[in-house]
Amino acid sequence: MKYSIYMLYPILACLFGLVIISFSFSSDLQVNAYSDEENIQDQLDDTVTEQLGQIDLSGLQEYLDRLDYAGQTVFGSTNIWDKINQLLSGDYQEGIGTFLSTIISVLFGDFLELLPILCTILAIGIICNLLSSFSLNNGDNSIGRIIEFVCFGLVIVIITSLLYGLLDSVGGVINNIKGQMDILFPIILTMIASVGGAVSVGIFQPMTALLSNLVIQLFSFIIIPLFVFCFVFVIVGNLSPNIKLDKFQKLFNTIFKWIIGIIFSIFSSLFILQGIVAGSFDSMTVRAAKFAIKSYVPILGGYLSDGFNLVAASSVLIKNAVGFTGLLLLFGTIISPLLDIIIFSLGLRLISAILEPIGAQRISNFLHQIAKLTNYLITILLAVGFMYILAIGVLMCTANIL
Amino acid sequence: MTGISLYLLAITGAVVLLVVIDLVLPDSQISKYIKSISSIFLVVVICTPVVKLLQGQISFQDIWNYDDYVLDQNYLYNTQLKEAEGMASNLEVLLDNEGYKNIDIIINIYPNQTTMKINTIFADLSKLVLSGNSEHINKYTAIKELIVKYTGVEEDKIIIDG
Repeated sequence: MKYSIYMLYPILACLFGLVIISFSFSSDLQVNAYSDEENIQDQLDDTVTEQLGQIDLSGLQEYLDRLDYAGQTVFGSTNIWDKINQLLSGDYQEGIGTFLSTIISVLFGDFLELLPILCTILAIGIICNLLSSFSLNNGDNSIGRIIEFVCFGLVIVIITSLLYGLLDSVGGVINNIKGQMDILFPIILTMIASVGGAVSVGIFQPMTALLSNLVIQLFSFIIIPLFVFCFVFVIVGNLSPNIKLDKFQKLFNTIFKWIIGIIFSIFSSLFILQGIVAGSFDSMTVRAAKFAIKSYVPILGGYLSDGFNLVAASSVLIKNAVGFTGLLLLFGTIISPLLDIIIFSLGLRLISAILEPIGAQRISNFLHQIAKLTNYLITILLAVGFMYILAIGVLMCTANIL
Repeated sequence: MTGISLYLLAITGAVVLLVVIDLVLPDSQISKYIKSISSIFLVVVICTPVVKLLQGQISFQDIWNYDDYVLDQNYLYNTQLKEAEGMASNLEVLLDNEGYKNIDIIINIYPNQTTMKINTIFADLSKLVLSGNSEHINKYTAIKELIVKYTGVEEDKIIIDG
């Protein structure tokens, strides 16, 4: 009797093992787990599509339509909705090769367009030097000075017309960026509010308005005019060797650098610090609310609380997709004017370098100073662009808590 | 023409005038005095905005006037409605677990709010089924207490029907 009971133990153990093995390999359980995950994924996709339909991005589409070929290549699409859906579905791929080849082709294209004008300036410099030397040989310096003044005036007219075009395009880019901010920031702030980031919204609402209004206006009404002052002082300071305005020019240069530096430093530090504080407050609030739901509603509480989280999750996904799309649009907006300015600056430096050994010293110095001045236009574009990137980046990192 | 354009035109005009004078003036003893006076004239032209700034003729008030961004209230309201529906479902499950079955909960929220604010909670007890030891207690009070405990709203916002 004793031996028969003990013989049952291995038999029971084998039976138990068989049951365990059959459950672990049961395709039914795997299908159920897989179908729950698929169900939630479908629900999330439906919720995202439904919420995306409530957002109006036609304004951004207009800005995208106005971009040139290079800008649209950088953006990666000609349709805002396609780009957002790509990001939401995870199909986004960076076309680095296409981007680089577009940049190089734009650079060469700009240089070829600028080449006739650069050759004209070079020709004026050479002729000016020859005629001045000829008049000096005749022993009459005043005619040489008049020739130099006339040739210098021609160069000023050409450079002024080119620079006016660049300044106009920079002003247009700043206005475009402001328009994009006016469309994008309310959408992202609304998404943050819908997730429960009330403190973040309260902090970022005035900060984003500060960026798109005050900071942009400072750039439009103070910084750009300062650049114009610097340009005019470069011109008038080079008109005659007896009229020296170098120190006035340096004064305006210094004021320009200080104002940009102060605006950039204050805005960036405020935005980042307030973003850190706001994010931590909202994180605690949302986590407390989630815990409350799960603790009050037992057993099923976790699942049901996650039901609302589908809405919050879709808001977070849309917020980040829209934010990233805005960044791509910004890159597309800035790239062409930036390349134009870079080519203009390099072209002037090249002509200045060629004219210097030939002897057209005044024109060479003038061109070199103008080339240095165009760096300020690059600074303006990059400063505004970077502040926008910073604002979008901080907003995208806010309220990503579920 | 804007003020800035006029200012720049004035500087450019003054400089061109000086250059022409410099070109035309013959070399003589009086020329250096003429050049000194014309330089002073140029400095006065360049410094005129400083005088206007001190006199308060240049104003930067318009730069400071701006409004905050307005949130999309329709989107927020739709999201908060979903949140309210989820909260109502959770309440129904909670009450079910406490022995109060088949209660329909409707949560009304205020519109145009940044976060969800509950206006009223309506509990329909017409199909209520009590289970366990719940038959001998004041169900209205018990249900109200549970709703207050879960949602945190005041008692006067809870309307019980049936």
